[in-house]
Amino acid sequence: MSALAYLRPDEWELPLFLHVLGALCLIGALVLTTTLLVSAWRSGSAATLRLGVRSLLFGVVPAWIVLRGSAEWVASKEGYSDLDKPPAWIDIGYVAGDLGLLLLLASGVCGWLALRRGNDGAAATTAKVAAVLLVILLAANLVALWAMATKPA
Amino acid sequence: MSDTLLFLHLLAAALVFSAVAVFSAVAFGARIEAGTVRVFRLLWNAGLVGLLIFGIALALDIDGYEIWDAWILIAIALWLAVGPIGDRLPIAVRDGGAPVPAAAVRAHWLAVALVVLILADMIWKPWA
Repeated sequence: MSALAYLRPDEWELPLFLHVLGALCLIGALVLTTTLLVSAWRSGSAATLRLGVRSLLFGVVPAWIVLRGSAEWVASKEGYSDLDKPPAWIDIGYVAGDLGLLLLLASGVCGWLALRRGNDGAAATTAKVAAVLLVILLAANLVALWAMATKPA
Repeated sequence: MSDTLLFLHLLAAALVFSAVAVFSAVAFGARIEAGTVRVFRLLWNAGLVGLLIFGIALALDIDGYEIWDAWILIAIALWLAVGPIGDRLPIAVRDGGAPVPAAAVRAHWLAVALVVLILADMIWKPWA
């Protein structure tokens, strides 16, 4: 696989750059958002909760779009889009990406509900649920990172 | 062996980007506890060290790459610059939510640009 990377054609480089940048930004934004939501849940701070939801909207969501869009671009350049039975590491990437969208939507709804509920126990619980969903998404993305790097059969 | 090294290299990059995300929130004016920023400063430094160690190990492990290749030397030069520049913002964050000096914010955005340049250098591999 390393030899393949060494022989990579020039035309793959922009989509690959966007894909790796999107993946790393997604992980960074997920860590930031999770940190803020956990902090909001523990302290009950509405300002931190609002910051966490903004980080989800303006950090995690755009990074996910770049990651997912560039993944399709790379797959079409490398001919993986046309395969009947793609390699396992491609499937792992798709599962992480598509599961990611569901988890993003669910955590976004939880964050919005927590903001609406204001400064009470229910808001803290909803913020906690949003944080747990994002931790699952972070774990899925780390598995995808491992799969992209090691390309298991 | 190369695949594991590449995963560890990318994991180190993920640590760097996680720290960059937190520092960027501070640069945008978000009030994040100084203790949290200190933890992410540790992750920033650990990530940078991991990037260098696993990056050099990869260059040694993969046939066709040499440590003196132009793109690897460029990456090392950018790495040497980004550490102290990127450290300025987390050092400037104080307990109590005092505003971060504008110079530290400017240094942070310069560090972000350098990190993206390192990634571009890894992908395009100039003069390889």
